[in-house]
Amino acid sequence: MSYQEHSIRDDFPIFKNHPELVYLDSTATTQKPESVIKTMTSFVSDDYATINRGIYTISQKATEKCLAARKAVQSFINAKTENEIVFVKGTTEAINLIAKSYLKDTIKDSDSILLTDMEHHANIVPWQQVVKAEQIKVCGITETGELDIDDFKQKCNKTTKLISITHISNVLGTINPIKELIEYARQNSNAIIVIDGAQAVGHMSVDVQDLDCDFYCFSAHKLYGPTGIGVLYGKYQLLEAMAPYQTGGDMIEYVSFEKTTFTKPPTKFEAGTPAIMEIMGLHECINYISSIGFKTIQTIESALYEQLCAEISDITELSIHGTSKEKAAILSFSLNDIHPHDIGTVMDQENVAIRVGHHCAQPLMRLLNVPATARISIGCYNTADDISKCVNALKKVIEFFK
Amino acid sequence: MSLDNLYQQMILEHNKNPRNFKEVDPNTHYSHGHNPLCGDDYIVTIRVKEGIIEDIGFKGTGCAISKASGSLMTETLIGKKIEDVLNIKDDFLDLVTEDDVKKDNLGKLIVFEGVKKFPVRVKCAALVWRALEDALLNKSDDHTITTE
Repeated sequence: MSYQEHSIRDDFPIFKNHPELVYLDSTATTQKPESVIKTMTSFVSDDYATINRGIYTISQKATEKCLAARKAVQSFINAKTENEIVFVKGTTEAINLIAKSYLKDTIKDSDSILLTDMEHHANIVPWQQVVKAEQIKVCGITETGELDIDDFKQKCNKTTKLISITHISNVLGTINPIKELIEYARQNSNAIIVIDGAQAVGHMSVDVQDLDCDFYCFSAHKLYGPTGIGVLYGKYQLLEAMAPYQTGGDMIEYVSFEKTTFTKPPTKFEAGTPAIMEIMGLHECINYISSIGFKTIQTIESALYEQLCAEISDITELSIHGTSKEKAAILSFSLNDIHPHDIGTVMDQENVAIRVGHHCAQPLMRLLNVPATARISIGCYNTADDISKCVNALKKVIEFFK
Repeated sequence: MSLDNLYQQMILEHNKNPRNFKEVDPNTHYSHGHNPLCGDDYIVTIRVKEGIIEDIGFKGTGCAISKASGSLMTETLIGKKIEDVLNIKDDFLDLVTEDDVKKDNLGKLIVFEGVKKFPVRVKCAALVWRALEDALLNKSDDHTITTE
Protein backbone atom coordinates (compact mmCIF):
# COMPACT_ATOMS: atom_id res chain seq x y z
CA MET A 1 0.00 0.00 0.00
CA SER A 2 1.40 3.38 -0.85
CA TYR A 3 0.81 6.17 1.62
CA GLN A 4 -1.08 9.25 0.53
CA GLU A 5 -0.45 12.45 2.42
CA HIS A 6 -3.97 12.56 3.87
CA SER A 7 -3.74 9.11 5.32
CA ILE A 8 -0.46 10.09 6.98
CA ARG A 9 -2.11 13.07 8.67
CA ASP A 10 -4.84 10.71 9.87
CA ASP A 11 -2.22 8.62 11.68
CA PHE A 12 -1.58 11.49 14.10
CA PRO A 13 -4.16 11.91 16.89
CA ILE A 14 -3.13 15.53 17.53
CA PHE A 15 -4.74 16.53 14.24
CA LYS A 16 -7.99 14.76 15.17
CA ASN A 17 -8.00 16.61 18.49
CA HIS A 18 -7.03 19.91 16.86
CA PRO A 19 -8.33 19.79 13.28
CA GLU A 20 -7.57 23.49 12.90
CA LEU A 21 -3.88 23.12 13.79
CA VAL A 22 -1.34 23.89 11.09
CA TYR A 23 1.81 22.47 12.62
CA LEU A 24 4.95 23.71 10.90
CA ASP A 25 7.55 23.29 13.64
CA SER A 26 8.71 19.73 13.02
CA THR A 27 12.32 20.83 13.20
CA ALA A 28 11.81 21.60 16.90
CA THR A 29 9.91 18.39 17.54
CA THR A 30 7.58 16.14 15.57
CA GLN A 31 4.08 15.04 16.45
CA LYS A 32 3.58 11.35 17.31
CA PRO A 33 1.59 8.80 15.29
CA GLU A 34 -1.00 6.70 17.04
CA SER A 35 1.12 3.56 16.64
CA VAL A 36 3.95 5.09 18.69
CA ILE A 37 1.57 6.28 21.42
CA LYS A 38 -0.18 2.89 21.52
CA THR A 39 3.05 0.94 21.56
CA MET A 40 4.23 2.82 24.61
CA THR A 41 0.95 2.74 26.50
CA SER A 42 0.31 -0.93 25.80
CA PHE A 43 3.86 -1.81 26.80
CA VAL A 44 3.31 -0.08 30.11
CA SER A 45 -0.16 -1.63 30.55
CA ASP A 46 0.72 -5.14 29.44
CA ASP A 47 4.43 -5.86 29.58
CA TYR A 48 6.22 -3.36 31.81
CA ALA A 49 9.17 -4.57 33.88
CA THR A 50 12.81 -3.69 34.33
CA ILE A 51 15.36 -5.04 31.88
CA ASN A 52 18.58 -7.07 32.17
CA ARG A 53 18.18 -8.16 35.81
CA GLY A 54 14.82 -9.80 36.22
CA ILE A 55 14.70 -13.57 36.44
CA TYR A 56 10.94 -13.49 35.95
CA THR A 57 9.17 -13.82 32.62
CA ILE A 58 7.95 -10.29 31.95
CA SER A 59 11.38 -8.84 32.72
CA GLN A 60 12.94 -11.28 30.26
CA LYS A 61 10.36 -10.23 27.70
CA ALA A 62 11.08 -6.52 28.27
CA THR A 63 14.81 -7.25 27.94
CA GLU A 64 14.20 -8.98 24.61
CA LYS A 65 12.10 -6.06 23.38
CA CYS A 66 14.90 -3.61 24.23
CA LEU A 67 17.37 -5.75 22.33
CA ALA A 68 14.98 -5.86 19.37
CA ALA A 69 14.78 -2.05 19.50
CA ARG A 70 18.57 -1.79 19.49
CA LYS A 71 18.69 -4.08 16.46
CA ALA A 72 16.02 -2.01 14.73
CA VAL A 73 18.15 1.12 15.22
CA GLN A 74 21.19 -0.77 13.96
CA SER A 75 19.43 -1.68 10.77
CA PHE A 76 17.80 1.78 10.44
CA ILE A 77 21.22 3.48 10.17
CA ASN A 78 23.09 0.39 8.94
CA ALA A 79 25.54 0.06 11.82
CA LYS A 80 27.77 -3.02 11.81
CA THR A 81 26.44 -4.44 15.05
CA GLU A 82 23.81 -3.55 17.61
CA ASN A 83 26.63 -3.03 20.10
CA GLU A 84 27.46 0.21 18.32
CA ILE A 85 24.07 1.64 19.33
CA VAL A 86 24.10 3.45 22.68
CA PHE A 87 20.78 4.64 24.08
CA VAL A 88 21.00 8.19 25.41
CA LYS A 89 18.49 10.93 26.24
CA GLY A 90 18.93 12.60 22.87
CA THR A 91 21.35 14.33 20.53
CA THR A 92 22.49 16.77 23.21
CA GLU A 93 23.46 14.00 25.61
CA ALA A 94 25.14 12.06 22.81
CA ILE A 95 27.42 15.00 21.99
CA ASN A 96 28.13 15.63 25.67
CA LEU A 97 29.06 11.98 26.03
CA ILE A 98 31.58 12.15 23.18
CA ALA A 99 33.03 15.39 24.56
CA LYS A 100 33.45 14.03 28.09
CA SER A 101 34.30 10.39 27.41
CA TYR A 102 36.31 10.69 24.22
CA LEU A 103 37.66 14.17 23.58
CA LYS A 104 38.49 15.23 27.15
CA ASP A 105 40.82 12.27 27.63
CA THR A 106 42.54 12.40 24.28
CA ILE A 107 42.96 16.03 23.25
CA LYS A 108 46.42 17.60 23.50
CA ASP A 109 47.26 21.30 23.64
CA SER A 110 48.59 21.20 20.08
CA ASP A 111 45.32 19.72 18.74
CA SER A 112 42.36 21.60 17.37
CA ILE A 113 38.76 20.71 16.68
CA LEU A 114 36.69 21.85 13.70
CA LEU A 115 33.07 22.99 13.91
CA THR A 116 31.01 25.08 11.48
CA ASP A 117 29.18 28.38 11.57
CA MET A 118 25.84 26.62 11.15
CA GLU A 119 25.97 24.53 14.34
CA HIS A 120 23.33 24.86 17.04
CA HIS A 121 24.35 25.30 20.66
CA ALA A 122 24.28 21.55 21.37
CA ASN A 123 27.13 21.13 18.89
CA ILE A 124 29.16 24.05 20.24
CA VAL A 125 28.84 24.29 24.00
CA PRO A 126 29.73 20.68 24.98
CA TRP A 127 33.04 21.00 23.10
CA GLN A 128 33.78 24.34 24.77
CA GLN A 129 33.63 22.58 28.11
CA VAL A 130 36.57 20.31 27.29
CA VAL A 131 38.84 22.31 24.96
CA LYS A 132 40.32 25.80 25.08
CA ALA A 133 38.66 28.51 22.99
CA GLU A 134 41.73 28.87 20.77
CA GLN A 135 41.57 25.17 19.91
CA ILE A 136 38.17 25.57 18.25
CA LYS A 137 38.31 26.24 14.51
CA VAL A 138 35.12 27.16 12.73
CA CYS A 139 34.36 26.47 9.07
CA GLY A 140 32.54 29.41 7.46
CA ILE A 141 29.47 29.40 5.26
CA THR A 142 28.73 30.97 1.89
CA GLU A 143 26.04 33.54 1.12
CA THR A 144 23.60 30.81 0.14
CA GLY A 145 24.14 29.05 3.46
CA GLU A 146 26.35 26.22 2.24
CA LEU A 147 29.53 25.18 3.99
CA ASP A 148 32.54 26.96 2.53
CA ILE A 149 34.38 23.88 1.30
CA ASP A 150 37.65 25.75 0.66
CA ASP A 151 37.59 27.00 4.23
CA PHE A 152 36.88 23.47 5.44
CA LYS A 153 39.87 22.12 3.50
CA GLN A 154 42.10 24.84 4.85
CA LYS A 155 41.10 24.18 8.45
CA CYS A 156 41.07 20.37 8.27
CA ASN A 157 44.63 19.16 8.71
CA LYS A 158 46.95 16.96 10.74
CA THR A 159 46.33 18.96 13.91
CA THR A 160 42.57 18.40 13.69
CA LYS A 161 41.59 16.01 16.45
CA LEU A 162 37.85 16.02 15.93
CA ILE A 163 35.35 17.38 13.43
CA SER A 164 31.72 17.81 14.37
CA ILE A 165 29.20 18.87 11.73
CA THR A 166 25.47 18.94 11.46
CA HIS A 167 24.01 16.74 8.72
CA ILE A 168 21.19 19.24 8.09
CA SER A 169 21.16 22.80 9.44
CA ASN A 170 18.15 23.43 11.67
CA VAL A 171 18.07 27.08 10.59
CA LEU A 172 19.25 27.18 6.98
CA GLY A 173 17.94 23.78 5.93
CA THR A 174 21.24 23.08 4.19
CA ILE A 175 21.98 19.38 3.64
CA ASN A 176 25.74 19.18 4.07
CA PRO A 177 27.84 17.00 1.73
CA ILE A 178 28.88 14.84 4.67
CA LYS A 179 30.27 11.95 2.66
CA GLU A 180 32.60 14.16 0.60
CA LEU A 181 33.74 16.05 3.71
CA ILE A 182 34.51 12.79 5.51
CA GLU A 183 36.43 11.46 2.50
CA TYR A 184 38.53 14.62 2.48
CA ALA A 185 39.07 14.48 6.24
CA ARG A 186 40.17 10.83 6.07
CA GLN A 187 42.82 11.67 3.50
CA ASN A 188 44.09 14.83 5.10
CA SER A 189 43.73 14.38 8.85
CA ASN A 190 43.42 11.78 11.56
CA ALA A 191 40.31 13.46 12.92
CA ILE A 192 37.47 11.65 14.59
CA ILE A 193 34.27 12.65 12.83
CA VAL A 194 31.00 13.34 14.62
CA ILE A 195 27.79 13.94 12.70
CA ASP A 196 24.84 15.65 14.38
CA GLY A 197 21.97 13.88 12.66
CA ALA A 198 19.15 15.43 14.69
CA GLN A 199 17.51 17.03 11.65
CA ALA A 200 18.40 14.35 9.14
CA VAL A 201 17.14 10.99 10.36
CA GLY A 202 13.44 11.82 9.97
CA HIS A 203 13.82 12.99 6.41
CA MET A 204 16.43 10.92 4.64
CA SER A 205 17.95 7.48 4.90
CA VAL A 206 21.25 7.40 6.76
CA ASP A 207 23.92 4.74 6.31
CA VAL A 208 26.70 5.22 8.85
CA GLN A 209 28.98 2.68 7.18
CA ASP A 210 28.63 4.33 3.81
CA LEU A 211 29.25 7.78 5.35
CA ASP A 212 32.18 6.34 7.33
CA CYS A 213 31.59 8.72 10.26
CA ASP A 214 32.94 7.74 13.68
CA PHE A 215 29.92 8.94 15.64
CA TYR A 216 26.36 9.78 14.60
CA CYS A 217 23.83 11.30 17.01
CA PHE A 218 20.06 11.73 16.88
CA SER A 219 16.92 12.07 18.99
CA ALA A 220 13.73 10.05 18.64
CA HIS A 221 11.45 13.04 19.20
CA LYS A 222 12.39 14.56 15.85
CA LEU A 223 11.69 11.18 14.26
CA TYR A 224 7.98 10.97 15.20
CA GLY A 225 9.03 9.19 18.39
CA PRO A 226 9.07 10.09 22.10
CA THR A 227 11.20 12.62 23.96
CA GLY A 228 13.82 11.38 26.42
CA ILE A 229 15.39 8.81 24.13
CA GLY A 230 18.01 9.14 21.44
CA VAL A 231 20.93 7.33 19.94
CA LEU A 232 24.67 7.63 19.93
CA TYR A 233 26.15 5.51 17.19
CA GLY A 234 29.89 4.96 17.58
CA LYS A 235 32.37 2.69 15.88
CA TYR A 236 32.86 -0.18 18.28
CA GLN A 237 36.64 0.14 18.77
CA LEU A 238 36.18 3.80 19.72
CA LEU A 239 33.39 3.04 22.16
CA GLU A 240 35.47 0.26 23.64
CA ALA A 241 38.44 2.56 24.26
CA MET A 242 36.35 5.30 25.85
CA ALA A 243 35.79 5.88 29.55
CA PRO A 244 32.26 5.51 30.93
CA TYR A 245 30.16 8.68 30.80
CA GLN A 246 28.12 8.08 33.91
CA THR A 247 28.53 5.27 36.38
CA GLY A 248 26.09 3.24 38.41
CA GLY A 249 23.98 0.17 37.96
CA ASP A 250 23.60 -1.80 34.72
CA MET A 251 27.05 -0.84 33.44
CA ILE A 252 29.26 -2.84 35.79
CA GLU A 253 30.63 -6.37 35.77
CA TYR A 254 31.96 -6.60 39.30
CA VAL A 255 31.84 -4.08 42.11
CA SER A 256 33.72 -4.00 45.38
CA PHE A 257 34.63 -0.95 47.47
CA GLU A 258 38.19 -1.27 46.16
CA LYS A 259 37.54 -1.64 42.48
CA THR A 260 34.84 -1.81 39.83
CA THR A 261 35.05 -3.29 36.36
CA PHE A 262 32.73 -2.10 33.63
CA THR A 263 30.69 -3.90 31.02
CA LYS A 264 31.41 -3.58 27.33
CA PRO A 265 29.69 -1.11 25.00
CA PRO A 266 26.90 -0.24 24.63
CA THR A 267 25.84 -0.95 28.23
CA LYS A 268 29.08 0.63 29.51
CA PHE A 269 27.45 3.96 28.62
CA GLU A 270 23.99 3.19 29.92
CA ALA A 271 24.21 3.54 33.69
CA GLY A 272 20.96 3.16 35.56
CA THR A 273 17.59 1.83 34.46
CA PRO A 274 17.04 3.13 30.92
CA ALA A 275 13.97 4.86 29.47
CA ILE A 276 12.34 1.51 28.70
CA MET A 277 8.96 2.82 27.57
CA GLU A 278 10.65 5.38 25.33
CA ILE A 279 12.88 2.69 23.82
CA MET A 280 9.68 0.90 22.77
CA GLY A 281 8.48 4.18 21.24
CA LEU A 282 11.76 4.61 19.40
CA HIS A 283 11.45 1.13 17.94
CA GLU A 284 7.91 1.81 16.79
CA CYS A 285 8.71 5.19 15.21
CA ILE A 286 11.38 3.45 13.15
CA ASN A 287 8.79 0.86 12.10
CA TYR A 288 6.38 3.65 11.27
CA ILE A 289 8.85 5.61 9.15
CA SER A 290 9.97 2.46 7.40
CA SER A 291 6.37 1.54 6.56
CA ILE A 292 5.98 4.88 4.75
CA GLY A 293 9.49 4.88 3.32
CA PHE A 294 11.86 7.80 2.80
CA LYS A 295 11.01 7.94 -0.88
CA THR A 296 7.41 8.84 -0.06
CA ILE A 297 8.43 11.16 2.78
CA GLN A 298 10.80 13.05 0.51
CA THR A 299 8.25 13.27 -2.28
CA ILE A 300 5.68 14.78 0.09
CA GLU A 301 8.07 17.15 1.82
CA SER A 302 9.74 18.46 -1.31
CA ALA A 303 6.40 18.97 -3.08
CA LEU A 304 5.16 21.01 -0.11
CA TYR A 305 8.40 22.95 0.08
CA GLU A 306 8.13 23.82 -3.62
CA GLN A 307 4.53 24.87 -3.12
CA LEU A 308 5.61 27.08 -0.20
CA CYS A 309 8.39 28.72 -2.23
CA ALA A 310 6.00 29.33 -5.13
CA GLU A 311 3.29 30.82 -2.92
CA ILE A 312 5.65 33.19 -1.10
CA SER A 313 7.46 34.28 -4.25
CA ASP A 314 5.26 37.37 -4.61
CA ILE A 315 5.72 38.47 -0.99
CA THR A 316 8.35 41.14 -1.57
CA GLU A 317 8.73 41.83 2.16
CA LEU A 318 10.04 38.30 2.75
CA SER A 319 13.72 37.41 2.65
CA ILE A 320 14.90 33.83 2.95
CA HIS A 321 17.93 32.80 5.02
CA GLY A 322 19.55 29.78 3.39
CA THR A 323 19.13 28.95 -0.28
CA SER A 324 21.56 26.10 -0.74
CA LYS A 325 21.11 23.69 -3.63
CA GLU A 326 20.71 20.66 -1.39
CA LYS A 327 18.05 21.74 1.04
CA ALA A 328 15.62 20.16 3.47
CA ALA A 329 12.03 21.41 3.83
CA ILE A 330 13.02 24.14 6.27
CA LEU A 331 12.49 27.83 5.55
CA SER A 332 13.97 30.54 7.78
CA PHE A 333 12.93 34.04 6.88
CA SER A 334 12.58 37.67 7.87
CA LEU A 335 9.65 39.93 6.98
CA ASN A 336 11.18 43.39 6.58
CA ASP A 337 11.61 44.79 10.07
CA ILE A 338 8.72 42.92 11.67
CA HIS A 339 10.17 41.15 14.68
CA PRO A 340 9.88 37.33 14.53
CA HIS A 341 8.01 37.26 17.84
CA ASP A 342 5.33 39.49 16.42
CA ILE A 343 5.15 37.24 13.35
CA GLY A 344 4.80 34.19 15.59
CA THR A 345 2.02 35.69 17.72
CA VAL A 346 -0.07 36.80 14.73
CA MET A 347 0.37 33.43 13.00
CA ASP A 348 -0.59 31.63 16.19
CA GLN A 349 -3.89 33.51 16.12
CA GLU A 350 -4.41 31.90 12.70
CA ASN A 351 -3.61 28.48 14.25
CA VAL A 352 -0.31 28.29 12.41
CA ALA A 353 2.50 27.04 14.66
CA ILE A 354 5.93 28.15 13.50
CA ARG A 355 9.15 28.69 15.41
CA VAL A 356 10.52 32.15 16.07
CA GLY A 357 13.71 33.05 17.86
CA HIS A 358 17.38 32.27 17.57
CA HIS A 359 16.81 28.50 17.16
CA CYS A 360 19.58 27.76 19.66
CA ALA A 361 22.06 29.06 17.09
CA GLN A 362 23.16 32.49 18.32
CA PRO A 363 26.50 32.53 16.43
CA LEU A 364 24.64 31.89 13.18
CA MET A 365 22.13 34.68 13.98
CA ARG A 366 25.05 37.08 14.43
CA LEU A 367 26.46 35.96 11.09
CA LEU A 368 23.09 36.51 9.38
CA ASN A 369 22.95 39.88 11.18
CA VAL A 370 19.47 39.28 12.59
CA PRO A 371 18.44 38.98 16.26
CA ALA A 372 16.16 36.10 15.39
CA THR A 373 14.31 34.56 12.47
CA ALA A 374 10.95 32.95 11.83
CA ARG A 375 11.10 29.36 10.63
CA ILE A 376 8.65 27.12 8.82
CA SER A 377 9.55 23.42 8.86
CA ILE A 378 7.65 20.63 7.18
CA GLY A 379 6.97 17.08 8.31
CA CYS A 380 5.49 14.13 6.46
CA TYR A 381 2.01 14.82 7.94
CA ASN A 382 1.73 18.29 6.45
CA THR A 383 -0.60 18.95 3.54
CA ALA A 384 -1.01 21.41 0.66
CA ASP A 385 -3.80 22.98 2.70
CA ASP A 386 -1.38 23.62 5.59
CA ILE A 387 0.96 25.48 3.27
CA SER A 388 -1.81 27.66 1.83
CA LYS A 389 -3.08 28.52 5.30
CA CYS A 390 0.45 29.36 6.39
CA VAL A 391 1.02 31.68 3.44
CA ASN A 392 -2.35 33.38 4.05
CA ALA A 393 -1.34 33.90 7.68
CA LEU A 394 1.97 35.41 6.55
CA LYS A 395 0.08 37.87 4.38
CA LYS A 396 -2.07 38.79 7.38
CA VAL A 397 1.08 39.51 9.39
CA ILE A 398 2.26 41.94 6.74
CA GLU A 399 -1.16 43.59 6.53
CA PHE A 400 -1.35 43.89 10.31
CA PHE A 401 1.99 45.63 10.74
CA LYS A 402 1.67 47.83 7.64
CA MET B 1 -8.34 36.96 23.16
CA SER B 2 -8.05 38.93 19.98
CA LEU B 3 -4.94 40.34 18.39
CA ASP B 4 -6.26 43.88 18.59
CA ASN B 5 -6.27 43.46 22.36
CA LEU B 6 -2.54 42.84 22.32
CA TYR B 7 -1.51 45.13 19.51
CA GLN B 8 -3.59 48.21 20.17
CA GLN B 9 -3.27 50.99 17.58
CA MET B 10 -1.22 53.07 19.97
CA ILE B 11 1.25 50.20 20.43
CA LEU B 12 1.59 49.72 16.67
CA GLU B 13 2.13 53.45 16.21
CA HIS B 14 4.80 53.68 18.94
CA ASN B 15 6.52 50.62 17.47
CA LYS B 16 6.77 52.40 14.13
CA ASN B 17 7.80 55.75 15.57
CA PRO B 18 9.40 55.10 18.96
CA ARG B 19 9.83 58.22 21.13
CA ASN B 20 13.06 58.87 23.05
CA PHE B 21 14.79 56.15 21.05
CA LYS B 22 18.23 57.38 22.05
CA GLU B 23 21.02 57.17 24.58
CA VAL B 24 20.94 60.00 27.09
CA ASP B 25 24.42 61.51 27.37
CA PRO B 26 25.54 62.48 29.93
CA ASN B 27 23.45 60.17 32.08
CA THR B 28 23.36 59.40 35.78
CA HIS B 29 21.79 55.93 35.58
CA TYR B 30 21.75 53.17 33.02
CA SER B 31 21.01 49.47 32.61
CA HIS B 32 21.16 46.89 29.87
CA GLY B 33 18.08 44.69 29.57
CA HIS B 34 18.31 41.47 27.61
CA ASN B 35 16.06 38.54 26.94
CA PRO B 36 18.30 35.62 25.96
CA LEU B 37 15.35 33.57 24.70
CA CYS B 38 14.05 35.96 22.07
CA GLY B 39 17.00 38.33 21.70
CA ASP B 40 15.20 41.54 22.79
CA ASP B 41 17.99 43.86 23.86
CA TYR B 42 17.78 47.47 25.11
CA ILE B 43 19.87 50.00 26.96
CA VAL B 44 17.92 52.37 29.19
CA THR B 45 19.73 55.62 30.04
CA ILE B 46 18.47 58.24 32.49
CA ARG B 47 19.59 61.64 33.72
CA VAL B 48 18.23 62.42 37.15
CA LYS B 49 18.46 65.96 38.52
CA GLU B 50 17.25 66.88 42.00
CA GLY B 51 15.19 63.73 42.30
CA ILE B 52 13.44 64.25 38.97
CA ILE B 53 13.92 62.45 35.67
CA GLU B 54 15.25 65.20 33.45
CA ASP B 55 15.77 62.94 30.45
CA ILE B 56 15.35 59.25 29.67
CA GLY B 57 15.97 57.21 26.56
CA PHE B 58 16.01 53.61 25.39
CA LYS B 59 17.83 52.08 22.46
CA GLY B 60 18.22 48.60 21.02
CA THR B 61 16.28 45.92 19.19
CA GLY B 62 13.19 43.90 19.93
CA CYS B 63 9.61 43.15 19.04
CA ALA B 64 6.73 45.60 18.68
CA ILE B 65 5.57 45.10 22.26
CA SER B 66 8.99 45.71 23.79
CA LYS B 67 9.70 48.74 21.61
CA ALA B 68 6.30 50.35 22.21
CA SER B 69 6.76 49.66 25.92
CA GLY B 70 10.08 51.55 25.88
CA SER B 71 8.56 54.40 23.92
CA LEU B 72 5.51 54.86 26.16
CA MET B 73 7.57 54.30 29.30
CA THR B 74 10.02 57.08 28.48
CA GLU B 75 7.28 59.42 27.31
CA THR B 76 5.36 58.89 30.55
CA LEU B 77 8.30 59.23 32.92
CA ILE B 78 10.08 62.38 31.72
CA GLY B 79 9.73 65.12 34.35
CA LYS B 80 8.45 62.77 37.06
CA LYS B 81 9.82 62.37 40.59
CA ILE B 82 11.76 59.15 41.24
CA GLU B 83 9.32 58.00 43.91
CA ASP B 84 6.40 58.44 41.49
CA VAL B 85 8.37 56.67 38.77
CA LEU B 86 8.89 53.65 41.00
CA ASN B 87 5.19 53.53 41.83
CA ILE B 88 4.25 53.70 38.16
CA LYS B 89 6.77 50.93 37.46
CA ASP B 90 5.14 48.69 40.08
CA ASP B 91 1.66 49.46 38.79
CA PHE B 92 2.73 48.73 35.22
CA LEU B 93 4.26 45.37 36.12
CA ASP B 94 1.04 44.52 38.00
CA LEU B 95 -1.03 45.59 34.99
CA VAL B 96 0.63 43.08 32.66
CA THR B 97 0.57 40.19 35.13
CA GLU B 98 -2.42 40.53 37.48
CA ASP B 99 -6.17 41.11 37.48
CA ASP B 100 -7.95 43.98 39.25
CA VAL B 101 -5.03 46.35 39.52
CA LYS B 102 -4.72 50.06 40.22
CA LYS B 103 -4.77 51.97 36.94
CA ASP B 104 -5.07 55.61 38.04
CA ASN B 105 -1.34 56.28 37.75
CA LEU B 106 -0.87 54.65 34.38
CA GLY B 107 -2.43 57.00 31.85
CA LYS B 108 -1.72 55.84 28.30
CA LEU B 109 0.15 52.81 29.61
CA ILE B 110 -3.12 50.95 30.09
CA VAL B 111 -2.92 50.01 26.39
CA PHE B 112 -0.66 47.20 27.59
CA GLU B 113 -3.45 45.58 29.61
CA GLY B 114 -4.06 43.03 26.82
CA VAL B 115 -0.54 41.65 27.16
CA LYS B 116 -1.66 39.75 30.27
CA LYS B 117 -3.71 37.45 28.02
CA PHE B 118 -0.57 36.48 26.10
CA PRO B 119 1.68 35.04 28.82
CA VAL B 120 4.65 34.44 26.51
CA ARG B 121 4.68 38.14 25.65
CA VAL B 122 4.62 39.55 29.20
CA LYS B 123 8.40 39.57 29.36
CA CYS B 124 8.49 41.66 26.17
CA ALA B 125 6.44 44.43 27.80
CA ALA B 126 8.32 44.17 31.09
CA LEU B 127 11.91 44.21 29.77
CA VAL B 128 12.54 47.98 29.61
CA TRP B 129 10.78 48.44 32.95
CA ARG B 130 13.02 45.86 34.58
CA ALA B 131 16.00 47.70 33.12
CA LEU B 132 14.61 50.98 34.49
CA GLU B 133 14.24 49.39 37.92
CA ASP B 134 17.80 48.09 37.74
CA ALA B 135 19.14 51.48 36.66
CA LEU B 136 17.43 53.42 39.45
CA LEU B 137 17.81 50.92 42.27
CA ASN B 138 21.17 49.39 41.30
CA LYS B 139 19.72 45.91 41.57
CA SER B 140 22.46 44.21 39.55
CA ASP B 141 26.20 44.39 40.06
CA ASP B 142 26.96 45.03 36.42
CA HIS B 143 23.98 47.10 35.20
CA THR B 144 22.64 44.13 33.28
CA ILE B 145 19.37 42.32 33.73
CA THR B 146 17.78 39.47 31.86
CA THR B 147 14.17 38.38 31.64
CA GLU B 148 12.93 35.02 30.46
